Amino acid sequence: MKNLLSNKRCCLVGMFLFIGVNASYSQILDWIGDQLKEYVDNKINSIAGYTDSQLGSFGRALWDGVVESELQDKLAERMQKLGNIEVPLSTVSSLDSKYGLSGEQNDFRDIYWSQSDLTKSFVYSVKMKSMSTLGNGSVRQNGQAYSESIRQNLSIASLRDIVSSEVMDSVAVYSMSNASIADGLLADIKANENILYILNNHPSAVRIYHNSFNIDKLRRSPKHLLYWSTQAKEYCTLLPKKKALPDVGEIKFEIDNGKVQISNNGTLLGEMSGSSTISCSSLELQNYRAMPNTTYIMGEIEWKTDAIGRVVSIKQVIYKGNNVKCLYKSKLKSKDFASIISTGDNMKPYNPADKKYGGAETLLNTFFFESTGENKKQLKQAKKLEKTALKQNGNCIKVVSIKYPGGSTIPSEMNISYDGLFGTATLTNNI
Amino acid sequence: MDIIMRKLYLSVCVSIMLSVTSMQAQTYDNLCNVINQNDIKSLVEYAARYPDSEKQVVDVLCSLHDISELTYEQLSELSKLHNRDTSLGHLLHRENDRKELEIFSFIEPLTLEEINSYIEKYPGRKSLVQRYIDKSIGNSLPNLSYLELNYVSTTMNGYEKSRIKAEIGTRSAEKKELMAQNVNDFLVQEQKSLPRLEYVMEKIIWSFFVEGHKQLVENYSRIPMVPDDAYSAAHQYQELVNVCLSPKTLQKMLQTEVDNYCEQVNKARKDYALIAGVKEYPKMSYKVPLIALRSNVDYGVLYNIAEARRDFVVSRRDVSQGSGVLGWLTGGLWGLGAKFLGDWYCISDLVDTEYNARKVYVQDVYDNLYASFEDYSKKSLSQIKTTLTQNEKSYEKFIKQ
Repeated sequence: MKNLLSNKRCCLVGMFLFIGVNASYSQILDWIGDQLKEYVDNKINSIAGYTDSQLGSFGRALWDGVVESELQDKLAERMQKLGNIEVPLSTVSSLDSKYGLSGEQNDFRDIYWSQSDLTKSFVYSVKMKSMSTLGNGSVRQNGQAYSESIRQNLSIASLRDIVSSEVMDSVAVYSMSNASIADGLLADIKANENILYILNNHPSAVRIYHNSFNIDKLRRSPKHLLYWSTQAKEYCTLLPKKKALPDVGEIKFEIDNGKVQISNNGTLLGEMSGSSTISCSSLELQNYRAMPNTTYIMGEIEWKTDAIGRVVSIKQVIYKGNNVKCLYKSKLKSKDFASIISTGDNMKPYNPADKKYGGAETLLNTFFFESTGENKKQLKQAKKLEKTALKQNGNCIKVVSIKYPGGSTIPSEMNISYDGLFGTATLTNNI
Repeated sequence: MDIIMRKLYLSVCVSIMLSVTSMQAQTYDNLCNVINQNDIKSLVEYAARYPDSEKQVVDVLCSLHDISELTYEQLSELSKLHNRDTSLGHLLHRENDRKELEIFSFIEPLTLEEINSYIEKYPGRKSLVQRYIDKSIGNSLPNLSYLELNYVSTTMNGYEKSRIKAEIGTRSAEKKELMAQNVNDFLVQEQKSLPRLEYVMEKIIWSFFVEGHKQLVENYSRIPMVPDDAYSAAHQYQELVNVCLSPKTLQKMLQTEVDNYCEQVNKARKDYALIAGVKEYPKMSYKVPLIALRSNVDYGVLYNIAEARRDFVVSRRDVSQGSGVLGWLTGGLWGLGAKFLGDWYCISDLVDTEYNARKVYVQDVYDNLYASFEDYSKKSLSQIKTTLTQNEKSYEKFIKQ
């Protein structure tokens, strides 16, 4: 217990001592601590500034400059990336599809043009309209009135207004035998005014008109009226009076079985088929001046004429050993035509459609050639060719073509051939 | 002497007669030659040269030829060679008249366009056709409608220009009625032209935004350091926005296009109104509004910049001390190396922070700007459409009055 108490005492004493000692000691410790801390701080500061002291003030300033500069550079470099924040280009490009437009559209002048075009389309809406329907038909009325005025000028009211007094007199004469002549003539002139000019130029054509009155086609044919009133008899006065041809004014034209019969005092002279073919039933028709652009036929002989009634080609069928004389007779001989189609005494007549095979001495079949040695030689040559052709082919076609200088009625050249083979004989006139 | 004189006289007479006969024969041969050529023109020309042969020529023409087969041009040319009072002239002129009638009958039902083609095909008939038109259309001008008068004036180029113009001048009521009938179609087409303007306007608005923003961020990216103060930093950006995306500039650009558009629309309206006889009419115009840019966004993110800069100073100090200890302990260059590396790290950290803060801010502003342009585009297009529609209604009323 004493130990225990002494221990307690000891402990208390110790505690008081400790407290007393400790109180003064803590001040010392604080002081020591402060001293130590100050020392440590100084030490630490001197340690922390070790590197700075290593660099020295100049080095530090230099380093700070480097850091500052680097910071600026890095910032500048990084901030460049801010430029990447862009508005997407699709905001603009998508407009093309939104509006269905593209490119520059800010030239608005075409809006004016298209509006103008539309305005014009209202104002000029009439297009492709028939002239006759304009003005509710008044244009047609005025146009037709103008046409009618011209038509009136062209219209023929009466014969007296248009034909010569001579023609009128003739019409009056023939009207006595045929009352419908005047009306028929007026109607025919209206149908073909060419008749009017032929009648006025040749009043004797009224007689031909009268003689052809039963055949519409003929009496309305200016060619027919002109030929029979004038051209046919052109050479008649040059023929011997004793051998005079029938007066063309007496020739009648009648239709029989669809063919036009040409007759004189009941004698058939020939027949016409179409407007340009005459089949001869006598030689008279061959002795008038030939009709222009016409084919004359007699048996197996054919003559063709040109626009001024000149024979330009002849075809004759020749049979071997079959001599056929012409069925018809004529008082006229080849020499009688000398005054018409010859130029002098030294010319000899030649009949291309050979008399041995049905040809005749008619104006149509007579041509005068100079009596030269060469022409004689050529005639012999023609005979030779004929013989050769007949010998080889049994029969043949004699083909004769005739040329004229300009408008002359005297031929300059006549070519004779047979079947177009064996060569050609040529007669010439030096005119 | 008397006998000698008489013989001499006779011989002279005979020689003259022979010579005349020979000349006549020569002329006759020539005529036959011409007849044989089967050419009407040569015959008529021959008759013009040798009037004595006219009778034979008439005979030949009437018996061997059909002059109705000649064209109008040929007949017209040949008719000029002979007076109507000669038999040949009479024959040719009458046939020429018949040809004219044929041509008149042919052209009467044709359209004016077809008549033009006809004249083009037969230039020799131009004056003839013109004459017919004079007689038919020329005498009917008061009976033609306004539209028909226009048809004639435009199709028959230059025909009776002044007369038709004068006649058209008297048709004001017809014109007014016509224009009133069609004004709706006219305005429908005008309305259809609006998308062109809308397209141009939208393109300007968005191109302006694209280009302006590009310039904005480029300028901003060239500023390495913004002010520490967030408000100042935000204000700095706002100023850039106002410069690069200037509302006035955009308004001016748009107004130019709108004015151009309106000018063309009004020009067309003027022409239309003029035909209708209306002098005063509403004109289309539109005042483009200023865009309201919404760029004042919350700039809180910019505070990060100031904070980061403060952190940068502290961090550098710490680095300096840490590297000093390391240098004292190692007594060598390790400390210096650590300082260099530490500072480098601080720089990088600060740059990252500054960049991120500015980027977030720019992006926020961009979003708001985009919305501004979107609203502006919609609003102005809608306004102009409404304006045009209302304006057209007024115009229609004026035309129909």
